[in-house]
Amino acid sequence: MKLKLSILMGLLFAFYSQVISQTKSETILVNGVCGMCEKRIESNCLNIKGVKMADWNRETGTLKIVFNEKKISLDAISKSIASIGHDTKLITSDVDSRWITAPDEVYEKLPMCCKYRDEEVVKNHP
Amino acid sequence: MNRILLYIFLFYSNFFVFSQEITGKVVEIIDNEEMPVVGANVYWIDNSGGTISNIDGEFKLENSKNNSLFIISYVGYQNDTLEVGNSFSKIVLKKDSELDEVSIEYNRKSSSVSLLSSSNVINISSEELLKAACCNLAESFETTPSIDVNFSDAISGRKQINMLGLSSPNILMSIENIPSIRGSLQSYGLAYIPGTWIESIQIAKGSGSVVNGYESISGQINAELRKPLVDDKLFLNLFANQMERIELNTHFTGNISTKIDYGIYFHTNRKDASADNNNDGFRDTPTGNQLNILNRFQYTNLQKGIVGFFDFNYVNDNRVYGENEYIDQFIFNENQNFWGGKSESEILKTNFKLGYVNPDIPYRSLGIQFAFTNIDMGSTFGNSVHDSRQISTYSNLVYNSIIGNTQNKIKTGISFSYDNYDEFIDNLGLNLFDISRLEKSIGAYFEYNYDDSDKLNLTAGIRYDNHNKIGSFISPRFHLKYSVLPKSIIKLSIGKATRIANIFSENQKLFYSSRQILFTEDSSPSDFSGLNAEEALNYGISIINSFKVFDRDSQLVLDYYITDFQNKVVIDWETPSIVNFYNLTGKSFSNSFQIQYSYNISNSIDILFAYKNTIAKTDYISQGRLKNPLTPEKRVFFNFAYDGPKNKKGGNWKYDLTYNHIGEQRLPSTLSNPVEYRISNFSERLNLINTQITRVFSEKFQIYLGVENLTNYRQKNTILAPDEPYGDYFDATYVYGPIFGRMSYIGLRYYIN
Repeated sequence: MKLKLSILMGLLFAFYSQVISQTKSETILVNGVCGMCEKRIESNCLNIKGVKMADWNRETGTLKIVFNEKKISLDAISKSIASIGHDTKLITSDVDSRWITAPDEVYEKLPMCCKYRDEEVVKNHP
Repeated sequence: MNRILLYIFLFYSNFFVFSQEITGKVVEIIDNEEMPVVGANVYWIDNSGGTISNIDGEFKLENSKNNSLFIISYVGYQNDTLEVGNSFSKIVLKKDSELDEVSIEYNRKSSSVSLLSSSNVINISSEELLKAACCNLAESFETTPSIDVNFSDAISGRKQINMLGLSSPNILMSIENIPSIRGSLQSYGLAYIPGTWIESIQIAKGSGSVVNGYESISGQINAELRKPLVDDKLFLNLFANQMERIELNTHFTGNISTKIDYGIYFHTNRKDASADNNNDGFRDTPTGNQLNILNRFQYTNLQKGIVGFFDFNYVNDNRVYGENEYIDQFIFNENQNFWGGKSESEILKTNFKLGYVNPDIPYRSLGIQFAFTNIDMGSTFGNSVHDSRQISTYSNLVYNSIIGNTQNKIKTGISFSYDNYDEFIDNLGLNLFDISRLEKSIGAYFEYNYDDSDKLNLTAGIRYDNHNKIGSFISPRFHLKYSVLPKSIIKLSIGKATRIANIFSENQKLFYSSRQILFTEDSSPSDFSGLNAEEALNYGISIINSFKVFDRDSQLVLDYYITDFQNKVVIDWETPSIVNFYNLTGKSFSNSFQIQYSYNISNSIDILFAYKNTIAKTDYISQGRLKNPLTPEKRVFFNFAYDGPKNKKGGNWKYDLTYNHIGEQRLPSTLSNPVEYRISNFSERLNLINTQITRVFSEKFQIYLGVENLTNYRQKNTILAPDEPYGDYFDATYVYGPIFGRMSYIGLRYYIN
């Protein structure tokens, strides 16, 4: 009984550490302004298979993202966010790191309050 | 709000900048520790190029146009312009002075219905608590329509609360999610949580979460206490009322190290004199004193994701009540012919809580709670005695995680509880009961939450418990929230709860009478073995509509909750001079409807109107189905709150008015008494007004002045046969309204943060 239990515990632990090791936590920049942006960015990420958590901070414009490396790459997530209208950028000291810009036609379709490229809109969201 | 002091300093890796590139690091100081600022914008003043600080706060900026000025900006903080080329390695900005705080003023309501959670939760903030006159957890609900606050009897001065038409034992009452006001504390426990210690209160209508146990029949009330890390450095509150009750509350907090904060919370109240305003020969309130000390330690390590609390609480409470002559002579002689008694309580409590969150994977966390309580309570009532000693431990281990992604959250864990009671009763010198007993239980639970972060949020939980008196049982709970429209929300809940009634502590008011305690044959009092555990199903619906009226926020909430008992310990005091405890033989239910409308008239004025209708009935053995005694069918509630514009020092005026209409209540029959000792079968309708005005002089100092029971209503015949307290008909339990008339009070609050 004890032996069985310890084998089971061991297996569980092995499984658990396997899951942990595949889990990666990253922070990227995502442009946006309002609560609607937040909802859009976060639910888009959560709908990607392999993404476990997405938390966009309106004040800093940073998106904390936890995902399974085996299932999805950070680059693919960034591109997916850009494809729904939000520019993204990796946070590195590398000057060459460029913004992944959202296509204009998608950006244009965003509601008025989400137009982060418009200085007036940004100013109206303290 | 947690104020973060922010300083940005930069240091250059190359002291003399002659290259075409600058590098630096942006950091902020939180609790004396350097924290990198991620994502700060660094750009040249002419916008010719820019970058963002990385995860370590570092940045590299190319200077292609030979600019001399660059800007660092970070949302929420002031922009700063810096010059390239100065020969320093480190710049400290705005030394010794804080940057202007960016504050967003918006109209925040001090009491609100949660729109996000799947269960029907009402949150009461510390702001709302300031509106109540005084002074402890029971009295904190006087401005909340969902909870009724009543006097329990005409002698003890004790207040009790009701929710969904059911009394407080049916509510699971927890302090920081540790079930706390239970067992022997059902008698006076609410009075041992001073109002000034409370940070916020959450009221969950209907069955609560499985995480906190199997006991919540009509709902759960959780009080969060003040946390040393964010609390004021010093707080002082003095209070005095017309009934010569004085109170002192003082808190101070500090830190032992950067990670350990402590708080000392001290409460004392005393009442050396009391009056007999209704001239029935008995004092309207007891005299006595309370000493209550809480010492909290808080450990916070955000880098490692660990937060812990260690609390130590000591309460000593003494009360003396009874006939005027009894109290006058009490100091010389406790054994006298006059009717009276004393109640002495001593409580020692320690709590330990530890939570761990992996900062990289914040959705996964582990929490452990452990509580130890030692209660020693002794009371006398004329010839009767109730002694209760209780040693309890409680522990709960909770694990939070997700399935797939954070839209699917799970909570699972195990909990243990152990309660050892030494309880003795002497009923009128006629009967002795020893109901000492041991109750222990172990349980495991699992809760799943789905949140599409848009329309649907549902929580399904189940727990399995094994209790030494009840056996094994399961408690399923289900909550659902659905947004039909963005501002229209519907909530449903269903759940089962089980609990063991602690009949004497919960009904201690019956000792303020000449009632003889009886048990029906099959329910021997020896260890409650004949009385079964109470079991109830609770289901409810709540509809919340938020909309604008004349461009101002308003909210309409409709609630309907049904509590249906499968078993219950019936407290049958329908025959004068007798109280009989037995298992429910038929039905017992409480159906409660509430409609509540709140409207924000202006930036300073809020109004709240509520109407409640409660039908609560129980089948009694001899009288058949009756309305539950002392449970009003109709209640009307109105609150007017004014919170005036603030002056430069942060001072303003606040005004609060609460009106309560309490409908007719059924009183247990007194028909078999002699004519002079009979009262009506129904109570009068009551109209009660409480009001308070507060002058806030600055953020540090305020004075408040208030009147309770402004219309000076006084219930007649609060005590039956007061002239013959040792006779068969003496009874002080028929209380439905204020015992003393109008009562004014004054208090001050002083804060240093």
